[in-house]
Amino acid sequence: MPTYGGWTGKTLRVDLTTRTSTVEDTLVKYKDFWGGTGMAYKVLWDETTADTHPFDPECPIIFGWGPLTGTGAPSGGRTAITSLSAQHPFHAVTTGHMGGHFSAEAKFAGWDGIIVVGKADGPVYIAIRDDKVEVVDCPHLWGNGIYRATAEITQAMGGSCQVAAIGQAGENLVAQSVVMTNYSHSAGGIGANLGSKNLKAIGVVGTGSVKIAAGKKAWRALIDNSMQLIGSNNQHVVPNSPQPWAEYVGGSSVRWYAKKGQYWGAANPPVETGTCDPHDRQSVGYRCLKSDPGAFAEAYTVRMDGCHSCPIRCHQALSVPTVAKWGVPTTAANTCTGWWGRGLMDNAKVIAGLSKNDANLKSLEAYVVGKHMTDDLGLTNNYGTTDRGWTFVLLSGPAMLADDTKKPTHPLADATTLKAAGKANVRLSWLQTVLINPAWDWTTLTAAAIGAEYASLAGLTTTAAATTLLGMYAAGDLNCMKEFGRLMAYQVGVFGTFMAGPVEAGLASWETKAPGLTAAYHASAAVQWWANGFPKHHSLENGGQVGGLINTCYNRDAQNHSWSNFLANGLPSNVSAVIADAEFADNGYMENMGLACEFGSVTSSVMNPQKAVAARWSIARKEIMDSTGLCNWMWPWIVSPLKERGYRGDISLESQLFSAATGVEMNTKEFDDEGIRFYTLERALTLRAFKARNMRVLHDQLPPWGLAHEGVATFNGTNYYETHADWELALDLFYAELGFDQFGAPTRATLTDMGLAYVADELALLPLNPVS
Amino acid sequence: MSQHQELLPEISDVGSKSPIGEFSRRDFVKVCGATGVGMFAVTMFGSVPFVSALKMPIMSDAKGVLLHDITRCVACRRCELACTEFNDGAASSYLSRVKVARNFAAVGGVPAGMAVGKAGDFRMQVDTCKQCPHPVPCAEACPKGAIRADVKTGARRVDPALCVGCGVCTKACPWAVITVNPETHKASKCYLCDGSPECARACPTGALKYVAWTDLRLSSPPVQPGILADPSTSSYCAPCHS
Repeated sequence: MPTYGGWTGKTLRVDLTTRTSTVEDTLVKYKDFWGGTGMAYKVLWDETTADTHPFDPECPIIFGWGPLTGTGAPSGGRTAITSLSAQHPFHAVTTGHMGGHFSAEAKFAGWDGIIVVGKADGPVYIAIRDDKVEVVDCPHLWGNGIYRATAEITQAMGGSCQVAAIGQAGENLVAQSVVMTNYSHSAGGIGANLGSKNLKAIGVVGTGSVKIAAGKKAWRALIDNSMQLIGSNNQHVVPNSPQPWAEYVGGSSVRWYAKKGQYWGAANPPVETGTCDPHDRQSVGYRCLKSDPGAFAEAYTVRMDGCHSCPIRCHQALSVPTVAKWGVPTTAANTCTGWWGRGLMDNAKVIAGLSKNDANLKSLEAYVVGKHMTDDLGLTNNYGTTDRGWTFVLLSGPAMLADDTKKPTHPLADATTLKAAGKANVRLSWLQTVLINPAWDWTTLTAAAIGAEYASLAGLTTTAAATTLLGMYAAGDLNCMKEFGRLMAYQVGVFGTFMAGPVEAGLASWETKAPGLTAAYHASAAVQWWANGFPKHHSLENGGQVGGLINTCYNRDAQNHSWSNFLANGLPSNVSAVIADAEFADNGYMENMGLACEFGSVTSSVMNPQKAVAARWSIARKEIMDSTGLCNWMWPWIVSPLKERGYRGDISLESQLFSAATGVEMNTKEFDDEGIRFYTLERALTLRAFKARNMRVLHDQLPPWGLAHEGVATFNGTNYYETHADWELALDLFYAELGFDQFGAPTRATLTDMGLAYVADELALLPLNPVS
Repeated sequence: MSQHQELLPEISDVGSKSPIGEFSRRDFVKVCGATGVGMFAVTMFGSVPFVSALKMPIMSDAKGVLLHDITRCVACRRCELACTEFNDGAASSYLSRVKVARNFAAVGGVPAGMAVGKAGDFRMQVDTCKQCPHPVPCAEACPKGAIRADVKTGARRVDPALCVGCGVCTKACPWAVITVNPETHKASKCYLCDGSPECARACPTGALKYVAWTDLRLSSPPVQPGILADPSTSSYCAPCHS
């Protein structure tokens, strides 16, 4: 057998039932699926059935990365944890994605992936020291949070140890739970899978290396080229403020933040991010001061943090000494929706009557307390869904309820309506949306009832506002967040159980008390529910049909940024258009996408074949990233920050890196085809879970809010609302591009061409629609 | 001429005042090149005989040294990757000549957020070779004389032809920045990449810098932790360090 780089050649399998581990030959069993999600889909296809439950001992959990993990390929620190979903109504395949340093350490320990099966007879963690693997009893850690578990396992295994752990939420089989590493990098929706196996954590220490097949000179040239073309967070390539070197300035949403006079203010002494000329390789790491809490938080920033091998640091590392009074660590790092508590105290001036500065600090404290609460308990917020729920609880407290101007007036009111009414600041949540409908006999899950329930659970003798969860919030007591998290992580009471479980199941459980609740939830544009049962994630607002198709593909919110990153890169559209034509060998690419050369406007509203091609490419690259270890929040790099290149990036970089690292030569087309092959297997697993082939009807439809303007206004694409007929055309063209039949199922010919004929045999046995 | 401006290798001026008095710089270089082995006095095992006339090699200071700024480091570990990929053709944290990963965690029972490190106050310590001035602990500990001043930079560099992978140098190094490669069985330590350190080049925040070596002993008391010195070696030092 030839010698390859990139792969270590060994995949670890741990059976917790027997407490044994075995070594599988990666190159024999999984090389055609690379690693990460590709490998995981293969394992799940081979080892599960349509009736396998996520919590069955035999259900595998695959900790995956890929041949570029642990190498110097920039932004290569991702871990994909794949199994059957506890959140999904049919327990279809899903992946939780986390960054950090876990995958690199595991690779250095000699492993291309870790497959965990079985169920331990008591709480355990897996300790991996290179090729030595132990299943270690840890009853002392069970019931503890992620922080304690991580600290103790690290102490046991040594300072370079990397730990991936679950908190109390995962232990208690909460569907909205995570696996977390490095105290801030979490894989959402997969924590309960570990909990069901009594698996608290995996700790790993590696002293080996990852071989590079290419010569040192060639590899270095490739890394240098990659580092020249890298942008900032999400591969945004222009600054969002004028800089001496910059030809263009992006909008405020562009994530190239660095500028003169901006500091990591809590560094000692403070560090200026500076102008960050793109040719200066020693300032790349300053480009992204992503301050989710706002500019106020820059003064509390120790530095920026992030994942292994990534020079773009998207996690903000804060030091906020005043949070000590809430009983949490004074330092905290996270990014985006990882900051639970974000927005919770934005109205601290109103609620607690604070000065502007004190209100800003209170808001910042909410970020930190919320992060620690959820990251220690191991909760996920399902891309904002669950914090919409708790936002309701807290913001519907006495202070808010007394103010009619802050309440939506119609249960189906959407953000547009509110904005038109001058109420854009209303923090509309899905629970707010549905609970205020007086027609519903909603007697239990009301704000007052939740307060009463909390008072009861807390041993309080009164439901007076001052002593309830709501009262704590109204008084600016951030312990309310810790209590909220406790209710969720332990599934305490009606509300805790409701918030902790799968969204659709929770809605259904209340349908008798609130007829029409589910339909109202699905229809609300404010909720942003997608028809696969999860929140949207860069959907119709990102290029209309293309963004919509991307959101149909998976069994959770789309973790796909290939396309959205390009649209938001910050360059003028006419510049992006020239680049897109060059990179995709297209003529009029942007126009075909419905994206005019005037930023923000749209020239083509209807579906066309080019949009299907774009959606296919975006999906291919997502799977490629998740199967090589690269980050789809950064890659691919269609554009670059270099004026002398006309801002052109290079979409062949990933295949070049793969070829150089592994020694397996692969061009860009072959590379993308492999990504689609992996996705096709994911699709087959989804069909299996549904026990039906009719994905067009069962899985791929738009949410009602996506069709909200149908019959009301002419679909013009500018508002990213769709028509039914156009969406059906979009599916037709998309299926054709993927080699699927009219029902959205992979055809036998497609599967055979991909070497997956054995998959076709099983799919052929499935009925078109579920047999009741 | 300042220490870091000297052309290397050569014995520093203190050599002329040492017990090996008449042994010229030229002779020292000549012997180093010709034999290399058995020149050093220090050994942990006592099994390597002293060479009486050359108890302790005196190397001139390196031209430069890597400095790490704890406030600028973002813990991406691109330095570890560049160090190993461009020198060894394989990426590794353990083998890296700059050490980041081992300083990630809050250890010793200190809760998260209350210790130095990625899991603590976020300030990241990165360990680098200090290119120690005389006496050079790793070089003195090596029973094979395999660690020498690099001709170009003065960096303390392992000669793989002489190294037997015994690991004594890893014990002698006060900073624990030498590693024996388990595959090649050769010690691996920072040699400043011939004057253009890959780690500093790869650092995205300039936290790692290659700077001129400055001998602070000229302005502050010498501090040399944990050198494993034979008593006879101590007496050897006395003429210069009395």
